[in-house]
Amino acid sequence: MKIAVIDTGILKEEVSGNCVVKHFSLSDEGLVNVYQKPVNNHGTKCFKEISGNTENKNIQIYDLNILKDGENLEVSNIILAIEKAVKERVDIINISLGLKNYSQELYDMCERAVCNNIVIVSAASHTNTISFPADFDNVICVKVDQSQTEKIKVTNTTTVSIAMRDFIVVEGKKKFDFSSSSLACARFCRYLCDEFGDNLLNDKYKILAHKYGIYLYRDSIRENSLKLKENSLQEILQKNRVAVVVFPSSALSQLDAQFLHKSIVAYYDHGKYGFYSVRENRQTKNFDYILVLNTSYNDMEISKAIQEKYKKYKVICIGNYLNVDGNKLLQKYSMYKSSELSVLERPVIAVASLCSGLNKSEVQLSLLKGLKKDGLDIGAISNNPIGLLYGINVFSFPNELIFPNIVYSINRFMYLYEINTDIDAWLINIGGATGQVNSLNTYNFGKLVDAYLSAANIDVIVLCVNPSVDVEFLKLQIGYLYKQGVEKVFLVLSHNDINATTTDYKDGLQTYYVDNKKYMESFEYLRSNIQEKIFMLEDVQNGKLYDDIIESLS
Amino acid sequence: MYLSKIINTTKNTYIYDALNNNFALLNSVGDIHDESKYADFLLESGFRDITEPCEFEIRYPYSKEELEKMYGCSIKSVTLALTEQCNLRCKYCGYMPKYMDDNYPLKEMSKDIAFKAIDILMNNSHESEICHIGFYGGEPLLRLNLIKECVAYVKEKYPFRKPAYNITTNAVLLDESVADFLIENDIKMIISFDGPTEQLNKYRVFANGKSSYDIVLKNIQMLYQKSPQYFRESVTYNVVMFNGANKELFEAIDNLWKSNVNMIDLFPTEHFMRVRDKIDKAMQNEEIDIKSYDFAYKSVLKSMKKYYNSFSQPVGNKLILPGGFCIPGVRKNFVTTDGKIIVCEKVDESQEIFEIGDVYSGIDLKKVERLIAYTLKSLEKCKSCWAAKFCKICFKDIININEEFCEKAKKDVEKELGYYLDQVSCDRTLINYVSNISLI
Repeated sequence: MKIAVIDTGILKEEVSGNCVVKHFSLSDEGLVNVYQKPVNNHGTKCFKEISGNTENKNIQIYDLNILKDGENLEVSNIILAIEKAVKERVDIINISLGLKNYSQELYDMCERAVCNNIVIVSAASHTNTISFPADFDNVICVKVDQSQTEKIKVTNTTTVSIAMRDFIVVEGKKKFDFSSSSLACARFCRYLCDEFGDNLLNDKYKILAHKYGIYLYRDSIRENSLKLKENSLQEILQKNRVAVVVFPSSALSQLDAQFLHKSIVAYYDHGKYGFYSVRENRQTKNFDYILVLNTSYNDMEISKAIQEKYKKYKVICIGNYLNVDGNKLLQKYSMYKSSELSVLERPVIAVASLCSGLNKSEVQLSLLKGLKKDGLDIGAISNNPIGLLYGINVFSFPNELIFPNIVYSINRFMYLYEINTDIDAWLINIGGATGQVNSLNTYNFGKLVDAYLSAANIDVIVLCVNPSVDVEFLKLQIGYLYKQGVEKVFLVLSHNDINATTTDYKDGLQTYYVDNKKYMESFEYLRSNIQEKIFMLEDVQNGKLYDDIIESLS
Repeated sequence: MYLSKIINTTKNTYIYDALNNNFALLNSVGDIHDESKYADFLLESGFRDITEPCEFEIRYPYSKEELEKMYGCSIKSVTLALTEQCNLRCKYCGYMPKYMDDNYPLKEMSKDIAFKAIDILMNNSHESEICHIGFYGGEPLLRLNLIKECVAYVKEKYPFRKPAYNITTNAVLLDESVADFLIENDIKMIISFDGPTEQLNKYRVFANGKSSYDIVLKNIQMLYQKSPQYFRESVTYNVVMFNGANKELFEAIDNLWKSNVNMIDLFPTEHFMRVRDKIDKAMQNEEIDIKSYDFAYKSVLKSMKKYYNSFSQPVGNKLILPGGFCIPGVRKNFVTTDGKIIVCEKVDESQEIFEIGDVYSGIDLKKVERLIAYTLKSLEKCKSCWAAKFCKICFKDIININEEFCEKAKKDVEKELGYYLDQVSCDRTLINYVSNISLI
């Protein structure tokens, strides 16, 4: 078994005959096979802790001395040493030192070691703050806890604590504790030498998982838990009486008491400047929470005066705001981690659009009502906070979409939802657009649709389009959806069109309501130039779209 | 030549086709003027035959129904003229005739009018990406109490909303308590200040002729010391270039710690032309290297965005609305002291055509239609103008469209277009920069 000790060097004189030590030290050419006298005894102490007591008789120590006299510890030298350890095919790397600053290069090098079945153990911060590499999720962090009764206690999936009472020296009535996380790290390294044995073919990570419950980030990152993550917003909605303030106020016209989440008891009437009960429509103060929902993609500024004026209530802002983080309580895709796709069994209906502001939420709500009226249980997802009012799973639109992680995350959530909830179908309102809408927001606005297309086999897409859409462009978009495996595309013609003066807005194009004449002209034009069935918003409300979707699915 | 123009720059000669949004590099103007060369040019380049008559069709893009809908949910801004009174008598100010007329009663806005204007904005801006209240004058700090009442009114009546505020001020009354109030309420400031030296502010004087510079500079320094961060994020200068663009001014402005600067061309009022220093006229038209000044270069590149957009589009369109007209009643609404809503604070408010409503009954669609009809009529000659698409004409100009205006507008477009073709279109870095400029 090979152990790399990345430290301040091991004093030659302290190496006993039954242990092979190869010394490496820093030079202009990197780490070279040359002994350099240590500048202190830190490395030697760690070495003795590892080699002095192990039951494994075949250990070879790689002394990677990364500290030169008069110089500080450099992250680049730790990286160099791990790289050397990986080249030398060691089994364990002991790093009883660390740095406070995060380094992605160091993380990546640790990841390389993990991929080579090398376990890295590293000492926790001596000051109980943060230390890298110990606090990376691919490294075992080792602490000291002199109060614990267990020899090794696993405190979370990547951290262990060790009792080192043999380092407590008693003089009279006084106790001196000479332990440190550095030595605890070395001791845990010794325990691992014993545990891993000499079988080169063992998967050390499986042993760590089975024996200690230590799960490190590795090639398979799927979480073992099959439960859905708890969401504090959903919890609030479960346990409290909630009043809602909805922006823009026009979104209030969609409020349908019959389908509202049972906790929503009141709404703010912007015209009457007061809260009214949802069911009796009387002025009310009988609620505990105020949810301020910005359902548009424009960042809104929220007044600081709210908390003062409504101090009896807990006020929570959800959505896009300039001066508060309105998305922190929404579900996050990144909370669901996996590195493989699971098979989803329920049919998926998705609502997407060519740009933002094209009535996607109205379409989703209308379809959701239809499905619920028919007695179906629906797994609904949206990026629009208005969905909270109807029990829809609302995810915040990610600031950055990282592929393929986003695909795995979506798939993992949908899989867990399917096995935890008895649903008949999915109804998803995908935020953003199907593609690039202008040169300023080329990524996030189009790519979430791509992520959903990869994460779930979407059976039906309802594509909301704007009246002045270019037919050739639309054909390309539809063709793309079919190419990605969508079985049926329906079009819904929005009454909103792109305001050409906003094509250079970085936060998304603005739309405006077109007159009926233009709307009907556009409808007729699209109907005669596009093969797919196209619906007016009126057809969505009166159930025609719903009927066609059900027919196509059945 | 129809809807086209030969653009001569220091490096090249281009032919620009306004109808199809197209341009081509020429060997010389002879490629166009020499008949046989022109025939070859057309054959090789596939360029439109610019000797064939054509013209633009000018149309206003929004219908009555659409405008009505916008007035119900998409109003973006109101600017309140809190008072016509000012504590300065800047020599180039357009209000000077009023200030000098003893019989003209300088009016003040009442609280009722201010609140009604705010209600119009707050109740009709729910779907707008911007909700903005501006305090304007005269000098708005003369009505500080009304400003405070407006801010308190919004907090009380619209507790869930927070409009963006700004104030356009000469900063004479900007003391510690005013600064605290502005910072606390995040009110952005546009300070009318012509630069950091007394000489640059020589026309910004009190009624007794004394310079305002020392007081204003002291106040601005106090504000800066109070919060450099607020200063950087929220203070913009309005600088009147009474001497045109010149090195001294640009260098001084470039070095300022500021969020932005608006360089304003002098509007040569009769009064100012009479009283201005003779030496100033002589200093005009100095050649300056724009690239040396960050703020100016950024502004030039921003002006390139419309050319980039135009040439990035696949085909040209015969249907246009020339210039940079905003949607009346949506983008800007200037509320006069007596409650009239004027299309924008830059127009001549004494002209009835610019009135589009009042705070008692809101935006008046009939008046908006009157303004649009007048505008379209005055744009008739743009149908055959090669520069129409890029012209900066807007509502403030429609009553003054004469030969002189058109010549200047065409010259400006020619210069900008030449700069785009020569300096920007072939530079990948600049193209990336320009394509990523967001206009909001």
